[in-house]
Amino acid sequence: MRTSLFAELKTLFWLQGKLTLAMFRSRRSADWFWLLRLGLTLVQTVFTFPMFLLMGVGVAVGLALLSPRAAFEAVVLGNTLLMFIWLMAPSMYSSQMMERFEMSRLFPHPISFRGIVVGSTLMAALNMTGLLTLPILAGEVIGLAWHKPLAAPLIVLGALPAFALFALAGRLMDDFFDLVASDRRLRALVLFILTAPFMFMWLGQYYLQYISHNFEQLPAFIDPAFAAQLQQVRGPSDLLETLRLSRFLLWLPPGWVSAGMGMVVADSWGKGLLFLALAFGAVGGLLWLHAGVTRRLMEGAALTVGVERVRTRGLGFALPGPAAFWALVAKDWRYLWRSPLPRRMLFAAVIVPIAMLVPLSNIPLEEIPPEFGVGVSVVIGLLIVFMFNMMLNMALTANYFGAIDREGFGTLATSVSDWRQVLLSSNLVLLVFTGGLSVLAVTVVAFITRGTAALPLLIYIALALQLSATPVYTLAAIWGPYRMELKYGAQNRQGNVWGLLAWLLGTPPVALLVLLPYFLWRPGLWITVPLSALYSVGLYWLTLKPLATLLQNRQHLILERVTKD
Amino acid sequence: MRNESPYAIQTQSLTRRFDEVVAVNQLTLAVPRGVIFGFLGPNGAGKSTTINMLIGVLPPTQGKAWVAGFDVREQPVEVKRRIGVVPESLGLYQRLTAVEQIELVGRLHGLSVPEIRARIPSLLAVLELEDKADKMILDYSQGMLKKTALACSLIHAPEILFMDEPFESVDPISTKAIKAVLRDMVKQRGTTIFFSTHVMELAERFCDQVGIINKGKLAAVGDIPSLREQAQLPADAPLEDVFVRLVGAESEDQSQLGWLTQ
Repeated sequence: MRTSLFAELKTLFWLQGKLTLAMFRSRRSADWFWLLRLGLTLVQTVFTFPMFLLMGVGVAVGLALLSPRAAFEAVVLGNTLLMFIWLMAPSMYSSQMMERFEMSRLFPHPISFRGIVVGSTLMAALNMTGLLTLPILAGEVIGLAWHKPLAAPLIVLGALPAFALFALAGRLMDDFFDLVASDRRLRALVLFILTAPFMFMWLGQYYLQYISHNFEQLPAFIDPAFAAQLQQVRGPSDLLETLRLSRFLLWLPPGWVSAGMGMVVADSWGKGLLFLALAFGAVGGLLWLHAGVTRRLMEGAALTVGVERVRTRGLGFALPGPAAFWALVAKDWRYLWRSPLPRRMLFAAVIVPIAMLVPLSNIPLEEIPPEFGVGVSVVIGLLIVFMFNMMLNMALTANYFGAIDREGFGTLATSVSDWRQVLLSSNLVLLVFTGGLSVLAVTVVAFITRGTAALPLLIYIALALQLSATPVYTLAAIWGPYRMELKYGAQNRQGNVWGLLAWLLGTPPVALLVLLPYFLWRPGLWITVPLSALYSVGLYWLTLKPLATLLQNRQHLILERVTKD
Repeated sequence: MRNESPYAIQTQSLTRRFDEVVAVNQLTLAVPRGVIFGFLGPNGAGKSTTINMLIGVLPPTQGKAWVAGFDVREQPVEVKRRIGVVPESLGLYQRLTAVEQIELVGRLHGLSVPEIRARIPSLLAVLELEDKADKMILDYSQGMLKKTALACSLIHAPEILFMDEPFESVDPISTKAIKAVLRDMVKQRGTTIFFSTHVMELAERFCDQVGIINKGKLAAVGDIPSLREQAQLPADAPLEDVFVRLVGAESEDQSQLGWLTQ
C-alpha cells in the first residue's frame, strides 16, 4: 500500500507522541505512580513554560532598552549561545527522559527517504530546547522590531532560518550519536569531548572574573587602545558596542542567521539581505548534510575505529592466597578499566582541582605564607576528597553490579564463587581506583598551593573514607542495583536513592573523627586518626560476611535488574 | 518497475565486503514463490548479511538482488512494502507496548487504524501475547520480544517474510502455533518464507528448500533429498550430517579435547 509524505509524517508524529507519553510510564505500573509522574511533569511544565515565556519577554524588553547597534550585538551573542545549547542538548536529556527517536529502527519499514529526513528534522524541534527557543526568538523579533518597526517582516523572515538552523544542528548531533553508536571507543571519546565545553565554560567564567578585577593586568594579546576604551565603558549598550563580539561571531552560522534578522536595525539593509540569503543557504547546507548522513546510515554506515583488541597481561607469578580470589581481582580490574567511566573520571581528577583553585589565582603565590598553604591544601583537599568519594562511589560502588559487572554477574551466579571473595575483590579494585584518583587530585592541590605537608593527612582520609564507606555503598549495590545506560552519556534513568543513603551513613563518622579534632584540637588527631582506621577496617570486616550472605540471597534479583534494559 | 519473475527472491553475484572481510561472496540464488526456504550456515557464514541486503537495509558492494520483483538497491521502499521482517536485532521501541509497536508498523505500511486494531487481537492471541500486551516492551522476555517482532512482521500480510532465527527463545507451544500459521500462509496465499536458522531439525521438517552458506559462499541449494545427493549421503541421512559434509567441517581435530572425554 502506497503512503504519502503527509501520512508518513503523521505516523512519525504519532510515534513521537507515544514515546513522549511513555516518559511517564514506569515498571511499577501502579496507577498512583503514573499519576505522580504525570503530576510532577505538569508542575514542571506549569513552572517551566511560563519561565521560558518570561525569558522571551525579558529578551524583548532588554533589546528594546539597548541601542539598535547593541541590540544587534546582543542577538548575535544570544543566538550563538542558543546554538551551543542545541548542540549540547541531545547528550544532556533526550536519552534520559525520553527514548530516542532512533531513525535506524525505522529503516526496515517502508518509509521513504524524504519521510525520514523531513520527519526526523521536525521531531528534533519538538523538545524542551525547542520550547525554550521559540519564546526567545519571538523576544528577539519584538525587541529588534521595536527599533525599526518597518523592518518587522524581514526580521520575522530572518527568525525562520534561525530556528531551522538550531533544530538541524540538534538533529545532526543525534545523527552523530547514531553514527558512533556501534563503536564503544568512539562513544567514550564523544562523551569525553562533550564534557570539555562545560569545563571550558567553568574555567572561562573564572578567567572573566579575573580580568574584570585586574583590569590593569590585561593579557598581552588585548590591544592597549582597546583596553583603554573598555575602561571608559558606561552601561550595557556601551559595553556591547565596544566589545563588538559580532566581529568574531559573524564568521559562524549562528552569526549569519542573527545578521539576517538584525542587521537592518543597524541600518545595513544590503548586508542584512546578504546574510539572510547566507542563512537560508546554511539551512540548506545542514539539511543536505543531514540527508547525506541519513542516506549513509540507511546503507549501514557507522563510524568505527575497528574492533578493539586488548592485551591480557599476567603477573608471571602466583600471588599468595586463593587463586580464585586473584582471578576475580584480575577480572574486576580489566572490566573496570575497559568501561568508558574510569577514563572520564581520571580526566576529572586533574581538571577539577585546577578549576577549584583558579579563583585563588588572584592571590600571588609568593605572598602565601607556608601555614596558609597547608590550610588551603587541607580545606580544598578535603573538599575534593569528599566530593570524589561521593561521586566515584555513587557511580561505581553503589551500583557495582549495574555499572561495571552487568551481564558478567551471571558468570558469578552460576559458578562456585565465594561471595565474600566476590565482594572483597570488587571492593579492593575500587579502593585502588578511587583511592588512586583521590590521591592524584589531592597531590595536584597540594603542589599548586605549596601545601605538601598536608598530603599524608589527605591521603589517609581519602583511603580511610573509602574503606569505611564501602560497606554501606556495597549494601546499596546489593539492595538497589539498576542497569546503567552507558550509551549516550546518560548516567541513569531512575537514579539510586540507595546510593544517597549510603553516602549519608558512610561518610560522616570518618569525616567527623578527622575534621573535628583538626579544626578544634589538633593533638586529638593522635587518638581519632587510629580510631577512624579501626572504625573503617572493623566496620568493613564485621559487615563482609552478612553482606556476602545478602548478596547470595539476592543474586537472582540482581541478575534480573542489571541485565534488563 | 516490477520484474514479473517467477521467483520471489533472486540474486546475481551478490557480494558484500566490510573492509577486507568478504561477508557474502558472489551469491547467486533463486527462491520460487510460495515456498519455505531455509537458509543455513555456521556462525559468521553471512546469513544475516544476506538477509540485510535482501530486505534493503544494507546495499550490496557488488551484484544484484530482486525481491518481489523489485531491485533491492534501486527500489528499497517498494521491496519493504511487500515484505515482513523479523530481523536479527529486533529494533523494537523499548518503551512502547506490544500493541503500540505493532500499530506503528501497521501505520508505516499504510494500513488504516481500524484495520490494524481489528487484526491485532488475533495476532496477540495466536502468539500468546495478550497478557503482556499493555506492558512496556522493556519488560519482555527474549521469547516475547521475538513474538512481538513476529507479530509486527505479519500485521500487513506480507508477500514475502524474512526471518532471522525466528524461533530462537520462543516456547514450543507458540512455535507450533506460529509454524501452523506460516504453513497456511504459504499454502493459501502463496506467501514466500525465507528464514535463517541453526536448528537442523527445524529446517528438515519445515522447509521446502534449503540453501547452505559457508564463509560467504553458497555451498549447496535444493530440497533435502537433493542436498543428500550433493553430499553423497544415503537417503535417510539426517540433515545435520548433510550440513557438516557440505560445509566441510568434518576435518576438525576433536582429539584436542581428549582431556574431556578420557
